[in-house]
Amino acid sequence: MKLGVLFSGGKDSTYALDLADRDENKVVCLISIKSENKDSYMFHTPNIDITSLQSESLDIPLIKKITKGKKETELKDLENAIKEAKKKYGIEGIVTGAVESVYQGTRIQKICDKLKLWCFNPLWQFNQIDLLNELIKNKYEIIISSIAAYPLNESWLGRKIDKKTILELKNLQEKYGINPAGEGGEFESLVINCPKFNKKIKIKRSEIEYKNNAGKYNILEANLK
Amino acid sequence: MKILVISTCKNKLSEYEFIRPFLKYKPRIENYKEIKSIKWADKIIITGTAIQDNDYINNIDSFEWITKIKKPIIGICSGAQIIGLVNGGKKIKNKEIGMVKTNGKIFGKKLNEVYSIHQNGIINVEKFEIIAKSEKSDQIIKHKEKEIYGIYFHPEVRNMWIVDKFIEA
Repeated sequence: MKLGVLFSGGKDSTYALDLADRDENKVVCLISIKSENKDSYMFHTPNIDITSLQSESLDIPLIKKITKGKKETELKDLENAIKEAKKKYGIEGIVTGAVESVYQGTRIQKICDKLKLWCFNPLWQFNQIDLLNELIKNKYEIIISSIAAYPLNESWLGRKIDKKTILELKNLQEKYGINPAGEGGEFESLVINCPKFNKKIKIKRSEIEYKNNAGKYNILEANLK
Repeated sequence: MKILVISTCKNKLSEYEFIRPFLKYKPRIENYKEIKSIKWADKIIITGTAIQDNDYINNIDSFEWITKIKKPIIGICSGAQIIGLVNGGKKIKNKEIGMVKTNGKIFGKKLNEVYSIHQNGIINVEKFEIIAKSEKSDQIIKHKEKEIYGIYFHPEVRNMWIVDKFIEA
């Protein structure tokens, strides 16, 4: 089956792509939505422009659309992007990296149902700590690209996710109820290398924005190495 | 406890979504088209599948064994539809996507909101009683004499206790 992946460049959508591009299925395009609303419930926002480099590294074409990020029109913008993928690449199904978000999951299921596309959520209900460990085991290089929850602070921005980070996130989950996969918006991630990439993302220049347990690691310049 | 999980998924990619939540019971997993034996299992879970997948309905004869055995079975979403269909139920259009307010009890505990992703419902299932309902449709049916349950929603989301209780009971 030809598939399109809703792709933010973060760990969940990249790993979902990895699981989807096997057996009887082939990922033929990536779909990224750039939201101008940094508080979007639907879309991951930091470093979304890096999806162009990731698409090049994966050798899978990218459909990128901009949305103003207003609550219900952003869904229409997503639907239009999926329609374009169906027309241009003949996709028969959509893959998402949704783990627990019923809000996101339900809305994407409804769009797929309307457009008569299959909907696949290969990470659905995956235990968050197990998911992080599986990514590390599979040699994913992931950095934290934004934070938005106490007690995460500036030191987390740009930090690589490794075994030590996972242990710290597990402790924060127990102590403060932080979702260790960041799906509640506590943090967002960016994959800079993984087995599906032909080349690694090399970050050349970056800056940090931070205030009161919220911040972003903005990549200003990057290339493929 | 020996658990058999029967996949109703046509596409292998759906199995991550519909089987992974049950791996904690350390089951044997078989696709419904390739079941080797059922005799050894103590309890059986028949999984759900993607909303667009109707392959199991086209192959409903593969599930006739359900009417002949006495083992505890829990069917989830498409699994529940299968249980209903092989027991004489009638398929109707009943699209539900999202959280649905539900009234009823299972294993002594009250239900509240459940997560549904389906386009069909099954009505008039012989020898079964309806033990939970939403405003629009039946949500759980139970065989009047056997430990066979059909759960039309997905307990994997926010209601995994139902499957835990089924396994423990």
